[in-house]
Amino acid sequence: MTKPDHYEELTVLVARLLDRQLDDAGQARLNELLRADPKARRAYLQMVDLEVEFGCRFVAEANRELATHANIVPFDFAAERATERRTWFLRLAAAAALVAVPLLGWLLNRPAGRAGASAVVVRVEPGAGEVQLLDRHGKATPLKAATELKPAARVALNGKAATASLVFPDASRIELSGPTEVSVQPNGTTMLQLHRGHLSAVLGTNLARNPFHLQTSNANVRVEGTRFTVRETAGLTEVSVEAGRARLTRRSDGREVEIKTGQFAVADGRMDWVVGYLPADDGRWGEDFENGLPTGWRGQLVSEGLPPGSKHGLKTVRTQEPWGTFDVVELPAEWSHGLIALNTNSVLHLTYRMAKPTWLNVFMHTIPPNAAPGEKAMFILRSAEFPGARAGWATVSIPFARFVRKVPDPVTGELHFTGGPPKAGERICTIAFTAPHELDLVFDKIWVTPDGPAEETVQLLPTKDKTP
Amino acid sequence: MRDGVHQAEFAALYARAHLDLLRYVLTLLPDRHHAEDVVQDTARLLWRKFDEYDPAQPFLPWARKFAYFEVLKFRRSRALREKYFSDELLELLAEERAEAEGELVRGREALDGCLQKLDEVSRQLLRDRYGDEIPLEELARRQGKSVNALYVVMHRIRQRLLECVNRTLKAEGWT
Repeated sequence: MTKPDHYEELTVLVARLLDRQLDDAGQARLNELLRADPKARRAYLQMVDLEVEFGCRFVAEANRELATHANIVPFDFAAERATERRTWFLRLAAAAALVAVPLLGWLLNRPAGRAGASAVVVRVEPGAGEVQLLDRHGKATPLKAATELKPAARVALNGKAATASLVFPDASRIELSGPTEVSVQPNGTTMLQLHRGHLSAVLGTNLARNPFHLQTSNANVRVEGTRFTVRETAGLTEVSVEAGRARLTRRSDGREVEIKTGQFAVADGRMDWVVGYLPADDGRWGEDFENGLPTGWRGQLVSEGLPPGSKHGLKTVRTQEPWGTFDVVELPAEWSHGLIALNTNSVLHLTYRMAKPTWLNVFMHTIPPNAAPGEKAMFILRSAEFPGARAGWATVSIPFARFVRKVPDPVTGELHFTGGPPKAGERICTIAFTAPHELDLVFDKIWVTPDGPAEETVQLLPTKDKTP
Repeated sequence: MRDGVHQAEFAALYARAHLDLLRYVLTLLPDRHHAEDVVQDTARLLWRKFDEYDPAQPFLPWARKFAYFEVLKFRRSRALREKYFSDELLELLAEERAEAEGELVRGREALDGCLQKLDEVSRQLLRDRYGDEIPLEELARRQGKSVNALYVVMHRIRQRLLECVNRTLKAEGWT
């Protein structure tokens, strides 16, 4: 969809309108823009949709318990009387509950697998913390070593430190950790139900030879492979495959996605599957733009004036933000797993040209090792060589140790870039090259290696001679 | 007195149409609280008029007509005609909302992927604002920021998501 004229102004006005902060002059200007331009009206419709969708998603998250357990009547049929106003979100939750409860009940209670199939004995080995066996009435008893898991019985781990293992006859092991609840339907197709929490599977030859079936609250997962992890948190299912492949089917509408080694997929009952790549474990990552503009990058693809042999590069693109206008190139943001894990010797390599040498900022976001959920770190690059005062093509290699972490001041608590470099195991979410002024900066390649020079190095490159 | 089957029919139809009505009304009356009121009034009106509904016809277009008139009524009763859109623009938006439904539906689906790409700080802000319905002023106070600064952050989040959605739509061939 092409942007309407006055896009920035329009989005600011609509956002203010939806936040009830638009004054009369702003409203008049918004009306003028909407009357004049169908694209502006389309953008307005989209922004209204976003507003409603935010409500749906985030209130559904907050009220998930309410939506699945509460007995809320969405509409008072008897009421010709005026009812007390509730938020639309509660009504949404109520409507969702009406549909979701019977469906969920049927899904969880329907017979699993084929009748008469041979049973697979699954033993449970409690590890650390509180590990309990729940019978079908919810009665909990402490789990003893080598307990055989009976059909429909549940294993419940309580507390972050709790661990347990499911052990199969062929020595396949599924490790459970943290607050987790799981049950096994030990029939011919080995059905595991992950009600909540986290499991990590390393399958032996027998199980790996046959598809392994697993259910979460909103997905059916069929794995052919040996190593995978599944996480079920607040109705969100996340599956990562370290070795093998998995077919994931969303229960609400049957949408399927297949992922293979090195990929993960996330979905809940409403949204479509989101597929991403697990961070490369060899410490190498990069992009040369030779196949066009890769997904998720911010920048403008160019094909002129590049180094010999190169077809494409990525030029900074002018981006308007409410607080100013910036030239920027940005790596595809991967906030869930990161793009790549760093070590203390990791090096960033940039092949670039800046027609008019000037300063810019390089910001990096990371997921620190052992980060709490959602925890991120921010860095700025303190480089002596990048961008430098060169107008021609150059490759600069910069140790990640040149990045400086943003940390709170011990006295004032204000955040400043005065911390240390990234730690081993820290995973890059994104890197942005940005300045408020025009940069005329083109990257031919950007890549990361697990090792390289300990100091910054620069190699000058010839520019392609375009004369006949 | 209508029977339980009738109620169940209405409940099922209304539950499916509820969010679409809300989007529709919010388009015409861009204030969350006003839109909630109008959707509630519309629901009551639809129930009263449900005997006139032809089950052979789709429910949503039928419901939208009532919602549209409820919006007009609300604007008149609250003297909001001057505050928001002119009658002419209102009609235009109502028509185009219906025409653009396919694209808007796909946009909403694409939003899921875009929300996943959002950083946790931004997601938390959206959770606070929309999940817990904390007013912007209160959020600003808690974070020690000005309302305007927080507004800018919110705007940036919305804009990033909108652009992400549009990139997805463009890649799928929507023009």
